[in-house]
Amino acid sequence: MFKKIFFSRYFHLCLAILTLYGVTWYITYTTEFEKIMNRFRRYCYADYEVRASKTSMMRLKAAFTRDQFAEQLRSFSADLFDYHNKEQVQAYFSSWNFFYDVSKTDEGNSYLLAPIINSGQYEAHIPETVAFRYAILGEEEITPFSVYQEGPWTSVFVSEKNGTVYIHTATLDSLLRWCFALLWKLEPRTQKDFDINDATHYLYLDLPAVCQEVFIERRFYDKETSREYFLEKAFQSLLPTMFAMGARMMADKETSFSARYKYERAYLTGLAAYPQHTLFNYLATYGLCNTLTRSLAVAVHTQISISIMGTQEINVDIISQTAQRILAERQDSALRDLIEDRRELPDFCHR
Amino acid sequence: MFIPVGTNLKLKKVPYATIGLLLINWLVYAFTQGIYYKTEFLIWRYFYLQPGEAYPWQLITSMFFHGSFWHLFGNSVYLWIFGIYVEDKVGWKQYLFLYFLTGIAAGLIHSTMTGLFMRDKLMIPMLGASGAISGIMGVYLYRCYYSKIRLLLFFVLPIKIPAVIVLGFWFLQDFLGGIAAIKGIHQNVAFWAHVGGFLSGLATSKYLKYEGQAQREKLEHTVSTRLGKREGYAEGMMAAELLLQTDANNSQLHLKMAQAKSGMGGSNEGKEHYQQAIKLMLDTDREKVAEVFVEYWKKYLTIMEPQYQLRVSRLLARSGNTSLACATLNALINSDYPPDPSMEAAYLDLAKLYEQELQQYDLARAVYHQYMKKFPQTEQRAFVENRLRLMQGDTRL
Repeated sequence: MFKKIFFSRYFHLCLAILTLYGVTWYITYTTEFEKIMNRFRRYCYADYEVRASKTSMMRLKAAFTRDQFAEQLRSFSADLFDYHNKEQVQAYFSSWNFFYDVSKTDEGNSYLLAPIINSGQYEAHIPETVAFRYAILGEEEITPFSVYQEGPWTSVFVSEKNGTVYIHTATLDSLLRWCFALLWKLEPRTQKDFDINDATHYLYLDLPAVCQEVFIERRFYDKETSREYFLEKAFQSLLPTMFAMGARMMADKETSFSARYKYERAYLTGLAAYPQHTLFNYLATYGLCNTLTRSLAVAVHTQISISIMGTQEINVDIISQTAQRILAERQDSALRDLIEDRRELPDFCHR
Repeated sequence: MFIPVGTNLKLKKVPYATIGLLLINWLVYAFTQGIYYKTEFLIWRYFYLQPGEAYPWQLITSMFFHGSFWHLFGNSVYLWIFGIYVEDKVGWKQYLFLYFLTGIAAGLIHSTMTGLFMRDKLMIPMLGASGAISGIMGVYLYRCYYSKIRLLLFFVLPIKIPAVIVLGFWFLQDFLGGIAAIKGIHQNVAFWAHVGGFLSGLATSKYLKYEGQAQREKLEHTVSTRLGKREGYAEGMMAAELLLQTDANNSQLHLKMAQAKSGMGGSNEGKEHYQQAIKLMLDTDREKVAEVFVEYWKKYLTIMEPQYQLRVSRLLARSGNTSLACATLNALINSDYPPDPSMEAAYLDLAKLYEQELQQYDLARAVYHQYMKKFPQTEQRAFVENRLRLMQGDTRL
C-alpha cells in the first residue's frame, strides 16, 4: 500500500507542490519592518478614506477597515512604538532611514512617510549666505492627504522641519516622467518640436543640453537607460533652485511667518536666484504644482509682462529682478496680512 | 477582439465536475454580493491570497472568489470551453486533481514572481479561478493539441483556429503582460498566475504521460474526421494504419477502414478489414454483427472462414434474416473449405432452417442427404435419419 503511494506519480506531483510552496515561502518572506510599513500605510490611507467619505455608511466602513488595520499594526509594533505617538513613530522610521511626519488638524490627519535617499550640508547664496542640513526624500510611501486627493503634482518641492531642509523628489519626478514619455514617443528633432505643450516647452528652455542629448541626439537607444539618465540630469540641474528655496525657508525658520508665506518667499527666492528655471514658474502658474503658489506665480507673470512692455525683451535678469521686487514688496506687513487672510491654509503636513 | 465559443471535439460524458465548479463559483459570487462590510473585510483578509502574508488555505479559497461579474463570466467561459473536454478525457477525479494542483501552482508562481520582481506588491491580494483555469488550458493543449478552437472574431464572425495557435497566442499575451508588470506597467491582472498555471498544466500532463493518449486520440480524431472523405483520405488512412499497429483488435477501426476502402468499389483490403471487423465483433458487439455482415455481403458476396461464417449465419437467422442465413450456409457447404466440425454444423443448421423456418422439406431432405454423404461417420446419423423419416411421413400426410 505504502509502496504504491510512494511510487505514485500523483504523490510525486504533490511533493513538487510542497517544494514549490517552500521556495515561495522563502522568497515571499516579509520582514517585520515590511509588515509594519504595510500596515501603517494601509492604516493611514484608511484614515484618509474616513476623512474623504461622503456618506455615513462609507465612513462607517472606512472606519472599520482603519480600526482593523490599527489592530494589526498594534500587534506588529507592540514592542516598538505606539502608532499614536508621533515622536515614537518618527524615531522608529528614522532608524530605518525614513522621514515621517504627521499633521493633525480638525479635519483629520495628514501623514508623510518617505525614504531619505541622500543627505548632507549645503551652503546657498540668496544673496545672503545660508548654511543648512538637507535630506533628499525618495518616492513617498505615504503621501499627504492633499496629494492623496488631488494627485502627485499638488505636492511641494521643498519643506523644512527641525532645522533640516527636505527636498521632495517625487513632486518633480512625476512631471519629468510624463514629459519624458511624451517626448520619447514624439521624437523631437529641433527646439520647435518641443512646443508640444507648455511643460515640454519650458522643459527645453530650462534644460536645453539634457533635452538635446536625450531626445534629439538620442545618446542612448534604450528607453530605460535614457529615462534614468534624463531624470538624473534633470534633477541635478534643477536641484540648485530647490536648494535656494530651502535656504530661504531656513533663513525664515525663526520668523513668525505662516507656512504659506514662508513657502511663497521660498518660491520667489528660487525664481530670483535661478530665473532660468522657468519650469518651476510654469508648474506653479498652470496648476500642475500645488495651489499654494499658483496665484503668486500669476502675479509674477503679470509683473514680468508689465516690465517688458516697450522695447525690452524678457530675460533672466528681468525675471530675477521682478521676483526680488515682489519678495521685497510682500515683506510689507499689511500686504502680507491681506494675503494670509484671503487664502485658507491647505493641508500641508510637511512644513 | 475575439472570444472562444467552443472546439471541434465531441463530448462523450456529461461534465459534472466542471458544472460543479462553475456552480460553486457562481454561488460564492452570489453570496458575497452586498455582504456585510465586516464579513467582506474578513474575506478579503483571510480568503484572498496575499503573497506577503499568505495562509496556506488561501491558495485554494482565493480560487472561488471573483472581483466582478465580468471577471467571473470570463473565467466561466474559458472553464466551460476547455474544462469539459479535459474532464471528458481524463475523468472527473483526475480533472479535479489537476484543477486544484495547477491552481495552487499558479498561486505559488504568482507569489514567487511578485516576491522576486515586484516586492512592493506583495501585500496586494489575488483572487479568481484564472490560475486553475490556465492550468486546465495547459492540460487541454497537451492532451488535445490536434483540436481546433471555434472563435468569434469581433464577437460576430465565427472562425476555427488550431488550438496550438490560439493557446500559444494566449500564453504569449500573458507572458508579455507579466513582463510589463515586472517593468512596472500596472495592470490589474495576475499575469504570472496565468503563466504559472498554464506551464504547470503542461508540465503535469507531461509527467502523467498524457502524450500517448493524446497521440492516439489525435489519430482517432483524424480517422473520424478524414476517413471516408475525399479530402484527407490518405491522411485518414495513414492514421488508421498507425492506430492498428498499436490496437489491432479495434473492430470499429477495421470497420471504418473497410468502409473507406470499399467506398469506390470492392478491394481485397476492404474485404479483409470487413472480415476482421466481423470476427472481432462476434466477441464484442454481437448486436451489430448482422448489420455489418449484410453491408459486407452486399459488397463482396463472399463467405468467411467456416467457424466464423457459421456463427454469423446463426446470428442472421436469429435476427430474422433467414433467407440470407440460408444463402450464406449454402455458400459455405458448397465452398472448397475442408470438412470440419463447423462445416458439419453448417449442414445441419441449413437443413433445420429449410425444415423448421421455411418449411421447404425437399430442400431440407436434399441437405440432409448431402450431409450424410459428406459425413458418413457422423454421430448425428440417428438424428438425421429420424428427421428424414419424419419428413417422409409429413409428405405422406
